[in-house]
Amino acid sequence: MAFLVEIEDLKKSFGPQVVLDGVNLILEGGTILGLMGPSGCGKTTVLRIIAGLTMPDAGRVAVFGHSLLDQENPEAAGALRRQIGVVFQGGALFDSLTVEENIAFPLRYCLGMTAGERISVEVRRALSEVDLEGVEDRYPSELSGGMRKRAAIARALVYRPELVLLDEPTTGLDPETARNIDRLVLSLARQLNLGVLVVTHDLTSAFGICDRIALLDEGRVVWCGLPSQWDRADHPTVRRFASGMLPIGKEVRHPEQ
Amino acid sequence: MKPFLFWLGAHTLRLFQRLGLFVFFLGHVIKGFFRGVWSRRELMDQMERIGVGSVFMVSVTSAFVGMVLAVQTLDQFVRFGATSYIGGVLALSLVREMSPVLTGLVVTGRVGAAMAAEISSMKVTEQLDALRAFGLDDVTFVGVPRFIASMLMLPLLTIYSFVVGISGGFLYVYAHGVSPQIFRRSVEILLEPADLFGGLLKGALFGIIIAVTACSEGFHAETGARGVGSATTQAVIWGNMLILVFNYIMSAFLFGGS
Repeated sequence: MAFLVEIEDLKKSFGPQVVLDGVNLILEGGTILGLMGPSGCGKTTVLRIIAGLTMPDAGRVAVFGHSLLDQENPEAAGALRRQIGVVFQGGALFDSLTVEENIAFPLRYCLGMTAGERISVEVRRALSEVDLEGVEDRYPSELSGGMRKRAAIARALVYRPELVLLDEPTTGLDPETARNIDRLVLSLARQLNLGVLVVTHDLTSAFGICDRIALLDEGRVVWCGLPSQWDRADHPTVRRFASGMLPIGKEVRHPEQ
Repeated sequence: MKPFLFWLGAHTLRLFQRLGLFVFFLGHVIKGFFRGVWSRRELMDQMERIGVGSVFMVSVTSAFVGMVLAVQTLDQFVRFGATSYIGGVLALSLVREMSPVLTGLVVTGRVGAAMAAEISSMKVTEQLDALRAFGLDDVTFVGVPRFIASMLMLPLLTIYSFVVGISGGFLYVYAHGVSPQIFRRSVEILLEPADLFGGLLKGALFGIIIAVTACSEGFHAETGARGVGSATTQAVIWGNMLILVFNYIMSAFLFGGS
């Protein structure tokens, strides 16, 4: 069976700083993989390498069985990239375009669609999928954080990619909006049978939506398993990361205690 | 002496590195124009921003420079009894030098700075990454419309600047007793099509310089607010410097004596 994403011995350094030091990872079709780890551990770098935005120093990255990085023909690389939807941390919506124009963007420039009416239909469908009707004419700066994430998800899904990469989809959102985004990601992934890689450090989010969780630390995947296996995992990094996620009240000791 | 030589060497290297980046960027944009994907609508938007958006500043600058030129020239020409030549001399200095250079400098400050800030902000907010994630070439998609718009609009603004400048100059000399007929006749005698062509050519070249320096600085900006600020400053500095240097080269080539 061909995996959506296969990563073998991936290495990447920025100057003297080694960020990835032999990452191995697999994402199966129709499943959601959560890539977790402390800030600065290289989660986003893995996502950027899969999306073809950053070149690794060594290792193999295959997307849909093809190496994105070895594509010498730009058109073949472009075609491969068009099967991947990327949702960036801040949304990366084009701020000079309205929401409607943002969502129509990949249809116009990636799929070469020209018929205005068909584009409008697709945009409306994408907005209704993320429950964001009625904001077509607004600019990204006029949207709330949660709405921006929804619009970014709609833009990433409008051309029906098979693989979606989400970079910290719940970061910077209040808990209620974060859970709404989680529910949205989960329902869309199941509905459209998407393979999803979610980069996050939000344990609640990961447990809520992921089929598998991989924990990255010091440039390597130190633990990978089902969410149900997390509590039983005795790897020290898992325990340290999990305890760091405990409510503050459980860890703080008052001076008089 | 040694530290000074090190300093000089480092700055010289940096200078050529930056010029090299501009040349690479120019090549990338030209290649992208023929082979890449870019938006015609964005081209129209940029033409409006660069052209229509600069009309007010170019009008004010050109009108006052035209009048100041007239103030300085009329006094001397009256002294030498050459008042009948004033229109032609004003027209020549405006169309050959003042209009293209002033327009270039004004547009660099207004549009070049904005272009660099916009592109570096797009970089910081991952909008350039988003373009690449869609399988598009970000330099082509963002750079080509700005490059073409700047190259097309600067010559038009140069003509406009000439018209406003010569009108400003005429108003001053007319108020000081020079008749419209004498003014127009001297313009007709001294101004040749080659002068207009030279002014337009300079305008187009300055348009290329503005777009290349601004876009290149934007794309190579460091991340963060400081990076955006630095890209904006560098775009204006390099744009102005290259406009002045190339203005001299073009003047020597087009209008210099044999």
